[in-house]
Amino acid sequence: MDKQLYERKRFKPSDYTVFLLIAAIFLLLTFTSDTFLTYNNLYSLLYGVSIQFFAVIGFTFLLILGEIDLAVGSMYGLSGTMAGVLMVLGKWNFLPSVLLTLVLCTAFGAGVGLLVTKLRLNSMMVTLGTMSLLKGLTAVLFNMMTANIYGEAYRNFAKFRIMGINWTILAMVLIVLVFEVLLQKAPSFKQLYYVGHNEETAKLYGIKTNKLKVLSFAACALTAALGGIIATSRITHSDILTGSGLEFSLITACVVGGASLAGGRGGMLKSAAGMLFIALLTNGMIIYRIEPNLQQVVIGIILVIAVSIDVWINKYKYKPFKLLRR
Amino acid sequence: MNPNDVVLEINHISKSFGVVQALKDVSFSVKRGEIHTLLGENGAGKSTLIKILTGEHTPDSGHVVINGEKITQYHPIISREHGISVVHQELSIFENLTVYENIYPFPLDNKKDGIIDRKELIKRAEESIKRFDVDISPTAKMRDLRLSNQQMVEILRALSSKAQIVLLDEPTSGLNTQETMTFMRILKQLRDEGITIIYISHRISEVMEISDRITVLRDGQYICTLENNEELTENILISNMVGRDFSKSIYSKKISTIPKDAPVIYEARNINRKNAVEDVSFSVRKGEILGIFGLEGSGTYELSRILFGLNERDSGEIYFKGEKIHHIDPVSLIERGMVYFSNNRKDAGIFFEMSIADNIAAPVLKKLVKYGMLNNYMISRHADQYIKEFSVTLNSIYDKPLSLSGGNQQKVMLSIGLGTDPELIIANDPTRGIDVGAKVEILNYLNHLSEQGVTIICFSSDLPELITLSDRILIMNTSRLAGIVDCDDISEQSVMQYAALVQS
Repeated sequence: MDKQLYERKRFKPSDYTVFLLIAAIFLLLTFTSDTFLTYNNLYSLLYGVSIQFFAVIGFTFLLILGEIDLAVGSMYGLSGTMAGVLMVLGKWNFLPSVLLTLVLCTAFGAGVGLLVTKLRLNSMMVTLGTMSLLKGLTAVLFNMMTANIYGEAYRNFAKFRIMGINWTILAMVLIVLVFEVLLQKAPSFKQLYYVGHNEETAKLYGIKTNKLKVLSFAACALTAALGGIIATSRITHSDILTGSGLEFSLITACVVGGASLAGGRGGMLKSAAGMLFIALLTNGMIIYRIEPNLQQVVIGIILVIAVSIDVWINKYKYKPFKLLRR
Repeated sequence: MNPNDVVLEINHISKSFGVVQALKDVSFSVKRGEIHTLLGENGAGKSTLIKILTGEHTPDSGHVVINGEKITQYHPIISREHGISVVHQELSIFENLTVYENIYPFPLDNKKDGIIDRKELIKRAEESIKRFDVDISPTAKMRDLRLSNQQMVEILRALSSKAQIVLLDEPTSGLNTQETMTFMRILKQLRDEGITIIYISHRISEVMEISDRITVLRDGQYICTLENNEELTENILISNMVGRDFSKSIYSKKISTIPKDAPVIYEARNINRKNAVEDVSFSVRKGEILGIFGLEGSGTYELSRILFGLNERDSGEIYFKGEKIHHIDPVSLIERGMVYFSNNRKDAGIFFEMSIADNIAAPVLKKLVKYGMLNNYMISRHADQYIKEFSVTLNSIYDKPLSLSGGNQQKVMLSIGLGTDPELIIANDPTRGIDVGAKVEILNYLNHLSEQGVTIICFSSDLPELITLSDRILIMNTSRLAGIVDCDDISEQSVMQYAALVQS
């Protein structure tokens, strides 16, 4: 074989932007703040990321496909409350409550996937609807059981440690490693990229685009629900604000990590790195006592910049709002 | 010819798009107040010429003269100022607005204090409708009108800007016989009022009925302008439209070697789709290349998509190797050994932003694994095989197809499909928009495949290409099967007879 034909260009600077950003903000905070580079601060930062990270797993699949689920934050908020209602009002045990919640949430996600594929609805619009639906549902459930601290089994769920490290952090590392490999190497996962790059072409070559979509919507709901259950466990009670605005942090994290709203790009490591970047940024703003409302302004600016760069890079294929048009 | 009679002159116009030369040194003139038809096959250059006249394209060389004035800048606004207006093949209407709003979409000269004078517009619309004695209410919603009336409204709009020259690009393609007759009457009335009409069609009988003069284009070149008098016959027109010299070109007529008793491998029965395909049935023998030809709008494109499950069908069955296929969709067809070559790789058929290796691996990912995981060595071996077979010119198989020439992109696209080892190929314009060299290579390769027993159903708008390839050619005309020509009888003339003449 002709050697040059098979030479890979391994290094592409644009693939590593997010890691440079992380390094830059890390160094900046290290040198300008005393409280940043402490074990406690960094550990709690990582712990926080590891919980929210669950929600980005399925979300990443969707972005690679060129779809989106704006209800990811609402699902994250609903699951903890729903499990709580089952436990507190239904007197169910911890495990069955959590399992039933996960099953229901996954089924809901699959339903959204079916709407998007069978009725050819636009995922941004459908999930804008389900976002409102799930938020309302959470409020209804929440009002049924105000001010109830959850049972011990539930409270201990997020606290469980292996070798002194919270299991969620270890899980995050493991999941990143496993899915990073699967996305590159497993045929069914690799197909997500094909669909994201060109759905029509993928169909032409026998890729089951609809099946992949339904599964990914289900996966997104499942992982968001799991994240929400852990987050609720961490704060020991249901909170109406859990997961609010999470969809925006996730989009920002993924796009900063190199995913594209036009589909076909992104990866698990990059999504995790994007989450870490957002967490570092938020951490820095807290250290500098920037008020929460202003923090939101900053996250918004970052999202706008990231999306603009995304559109600019993908000029060739971008049909803005491929998401909006069918 | 009195120079005052000439309203439009086309002077040595050439235009190319990439490797494709759409117009080569075309010159002719159009008289004031005549119906002048442009006749030619698909790709003869008619539409490009129209787009130059409307100012959408600028010619590479040559120029247009309107009323003795040479056009120096090509822009739709300038064309309109010169009195040119156009009715395109596809309707461009505002479905949810009324008829009068469609006739006067931008009534700039009709504003009272910046507000549109509705009553005045309706009155004007009524007058122009009356002029042609058609039955349309100016306040009706556009979407409630019949197709012919919608088309009529488009023509009224074209006339509303005081047009002197009206270009009509296949205006009757959606009309039935009676509607076409009304339409013809109106065109003649316009001509008698002194408006010049440039008419594009490939329905020969219609052209002969309406035209004063006919200009024939072929492969982007001017062939002749004929007076429409008693001596003109359909055959004269057809032979001017086709009439290539086969001995000098890359094309040669195929000599079929398929035995008459070769087993039928594929059969389509009574395929129907509303407004596109009407009751089409055919069968293909193993190793045969069946060409399917039709002029634009004849339904061949829709048929090709239905056969591969890319468009829905209303009814019809497909049998492959004697077995009825219940799920006509790409996934199960590929599993059974069929593959589809898209006719427009820009829309579908190739992943422009993934590596060439990933492209070629796309339909067979699950076969290129070790321990369930994709294996880079196997992927590159797989890609290598087809790149060598087609001699694709490239730097690295990890480059993106975007960086390749059109011909090489097309070869990559064919490689993706052939990677599945198909028994039957449905090819849709497999050599569209590529240079002659790559064209010959691809045609040879398809022939080579058929010799090895692969069956090919080839849809093409390129008749010489089909004649070179096909054992039989099936011709569609106005959604229906118009005829099948066997190899010995295949000629441009015999195929075009079926494709261009109105069936009675």
